[in-house]
Amino acid sequence: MSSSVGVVSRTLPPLSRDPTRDDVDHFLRRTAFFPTFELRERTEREGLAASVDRLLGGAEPSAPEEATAIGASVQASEDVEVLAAAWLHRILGSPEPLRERLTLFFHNRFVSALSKVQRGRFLVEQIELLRRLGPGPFLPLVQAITRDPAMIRYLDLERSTKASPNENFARELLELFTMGPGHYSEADIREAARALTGYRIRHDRFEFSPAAHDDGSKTFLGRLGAWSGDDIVRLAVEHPGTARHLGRALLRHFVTDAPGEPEIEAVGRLIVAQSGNLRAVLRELFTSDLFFASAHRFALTRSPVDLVVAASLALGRILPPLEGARHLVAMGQSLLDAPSVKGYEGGAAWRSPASLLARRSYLASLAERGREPAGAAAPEVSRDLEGVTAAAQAVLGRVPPPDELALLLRLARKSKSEATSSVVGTVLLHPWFQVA
Amino acid sequence: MAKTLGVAILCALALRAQEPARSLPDDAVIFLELQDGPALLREAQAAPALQPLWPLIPAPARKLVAALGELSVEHIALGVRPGGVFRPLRWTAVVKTQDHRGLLTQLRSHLPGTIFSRPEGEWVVLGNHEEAIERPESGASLADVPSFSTYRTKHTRPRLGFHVDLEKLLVFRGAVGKADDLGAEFFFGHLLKTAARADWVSGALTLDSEWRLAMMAPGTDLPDTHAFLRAAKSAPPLLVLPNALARLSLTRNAQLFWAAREQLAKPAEREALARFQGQAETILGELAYDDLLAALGPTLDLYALSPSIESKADPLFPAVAIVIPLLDSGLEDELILTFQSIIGVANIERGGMGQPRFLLESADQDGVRIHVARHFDHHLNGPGDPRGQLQIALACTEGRFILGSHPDVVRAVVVAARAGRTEPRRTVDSLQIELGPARALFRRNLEFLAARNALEEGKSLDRARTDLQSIVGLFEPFSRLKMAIDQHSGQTSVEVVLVPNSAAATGVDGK
Repeated sequence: MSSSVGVVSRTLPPLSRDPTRDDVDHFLRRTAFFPTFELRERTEREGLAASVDRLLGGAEPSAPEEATAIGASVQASEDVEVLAAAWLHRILGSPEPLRERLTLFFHNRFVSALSKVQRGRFLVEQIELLRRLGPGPFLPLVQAITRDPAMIRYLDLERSTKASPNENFARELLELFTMGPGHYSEADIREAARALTGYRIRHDRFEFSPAAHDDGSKTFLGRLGAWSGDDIVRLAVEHPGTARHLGRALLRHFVTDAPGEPEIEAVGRLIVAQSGNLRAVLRELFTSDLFFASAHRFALTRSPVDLVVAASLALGRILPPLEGARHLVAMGQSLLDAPSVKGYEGGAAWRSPASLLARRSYLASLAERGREPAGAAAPEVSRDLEGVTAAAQAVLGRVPPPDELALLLRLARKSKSEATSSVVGTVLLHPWFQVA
Repeated sequence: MAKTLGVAILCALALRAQEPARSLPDDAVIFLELQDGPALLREAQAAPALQPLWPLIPAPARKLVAALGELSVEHIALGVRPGGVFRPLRWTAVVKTQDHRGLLTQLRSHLPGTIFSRPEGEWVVLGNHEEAIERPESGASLADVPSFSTYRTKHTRPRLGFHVDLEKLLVFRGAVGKADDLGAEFFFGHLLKTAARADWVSGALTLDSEWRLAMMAPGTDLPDTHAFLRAAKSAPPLLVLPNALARLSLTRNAQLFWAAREQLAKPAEREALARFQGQAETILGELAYDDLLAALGPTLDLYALSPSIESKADPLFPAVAIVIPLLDSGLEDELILTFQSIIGVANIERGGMGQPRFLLESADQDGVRIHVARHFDHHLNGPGDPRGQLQIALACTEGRFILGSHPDVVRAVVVAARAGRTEPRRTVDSLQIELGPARALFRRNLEFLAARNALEEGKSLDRARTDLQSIVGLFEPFSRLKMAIDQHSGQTSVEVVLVPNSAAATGVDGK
């Protein structure tokens, strides 16, 4: 993969028809968490490619005033639950949901955890870095992560010296951030670790210490040179394995829990063709036949964050973010505090018995609430079979069999609330809401 | 005959002059009285603390209050009782005023329905039903009800008084007095039991140098399961800490509470308690868990010190210490060892997760060793790191076990205990908050609290800010809040006192 931005004929065949309403809903479930009425109308009007750009936002992320103020007020608290809630709050109010979904993707690739970093501000700044650079070329993003104080602390890079290089960062750079296992040797890790010495945090900022850096010759991936840390990152990013590794992860985050080898190869080629520019990659991916293939419909298990955000959007109101953050932990996803450097496996792993119980418990608690929605997917639904069918189509993207609809109707009628949201809330309990 | 009738009427009037409730029916469920009502209403309308509440009152009621405020009304006594199924409440009022006509005009223009009235010299009897004014003077009245007599004995001429017959008001009491969890039982068990059993509640508000709301209700003796709440004669006096932000004192017997846990706790809580006991026994080592409970005295006091507002920590927390009497001084060393063990175990766990560990150190204060577990300075993110405020400190002195969130507050408790700076423990529970420093601390943390509130409630930041400021605004004119709960002679009493700023400045309570 080259870092230069050059381009560009299509690698993935485009969608070979005008997008239907089902196509648009599928597109929005993956790019915007949930197909709200307003988003659907706008996407149909603007087209898919323009919508990718709008949902991803411009070169700089938008900074909603309120979310920024809340983030600034709580970042010093060092309370992971509050920090996660602040991020959730930002996601829920963001005009750029795809940028947030991409940030979540990279947060699970470049993992740092507050319990180790012990500095909320570093984590908040790391998320902002991912948000800012995520939609751009991949190489500058990885280089920036290498200089990120949260990552430096999380992977012990500040302890790495010329005399005693620490291999943690080098190992994860190769195994998780770039090419993946099978493409490098233990000797490559040792040499990369030497090149990555001298990275420090001073006054809360990255600082390079030439005295602690090993500037001698190293052999990395079979090439000899006085490689610096940046050189190592560049060589790793340019390795053919990286595009494939990244492509597989993108497919698992945006397209399907179980991507096939041909699809991984195709997206890997797309990443190379687009010089690792994620904006261009996503624009092509989300307008491709591959993305809209029938096998990929409802083939993605919603992560806990996706589930909480989608439920909130379906009900048309912002649910208390702190409550959402607490439920995320119960469902097995701690934002900003993943249990290991590998992040979350995702996909079907989100559907463990314990996680499913927690997910259902959260959705059931929503179903019991009865406030009127504002701008829900199904703004006006009656508490009869017709209403439940409409709500199911809007919330689940398809209509369940008659016996299941009848069950949903019975549940909706049991609700104490007369509000439309109680019907929508009941539909959220259907197993199909677990997937997108 | 006419002479006899005249004497009877004069006697009745004389009696009413002393007790207006003689003209109210004995089945009145709610009784309310106001002395010098107009002045009270004017004060209430002008009080800055009540300004946020006025918009909550329906406009017609506000207008009526404003209109009554303009009349010369010396005393209002009001009795309300049910009107029957699907019928409006029946109310009867006895009003002492020089302007009967003006009063009736105002009432008829602001209240719905017919107002019946019967003048009696300076008094007028009013009601929304005919029976209210036809009631024979010789019949049973509210004044003859024993619980009302108890109220009247306590409050002869309150500015604002009330008496409520809970037996008639709360027909369905199923949910009243049920604790949600063990914590609610521990802290509010006595109030919950009273709420579940009391036949009536009465009280009075006085607005003199202090704003004082005193309420009382009958309560039978606490059941054995709640013996942990009974006042003990062996309770030590309270400590007086200069510059304390708040003090909470509770009469609670840990040993009796633990003994009653099986009856009080829900099944899930019982499991958690069993786990807690298992972990505690592991950490306590040779010290038996039951021996530890037996060694703890029957009170639990919390003292909070105000932090320096200039501190850079964000958010800024008060330093809080828990103080429990220690009946067996031989356990002091065991408790210190337990503290060190807990910190050691926590350090092993934190080290395993790559988290910074706690430093254990100690220092003397007035000859008492204070043990402290804190973060290393270099593990903190500078002076703004809120974790720097958490320095768990422990000391034992003068028969007290002291555990604090910062050595400053533990030192202050040690100094007060060593110097014998105490005051008697007058009630079962009491709370005192210095509102000035509390407000300063609140303002210092406002942005954090508002952001947290917005995240907690899912509301906008502006709304969260406004809500919090409104709540604090209620207490703006006051310098101190005092609350006391007591139980004796078969009665539960609750007293809430707000000390206005000016009163505190002139040293109303001698401080």
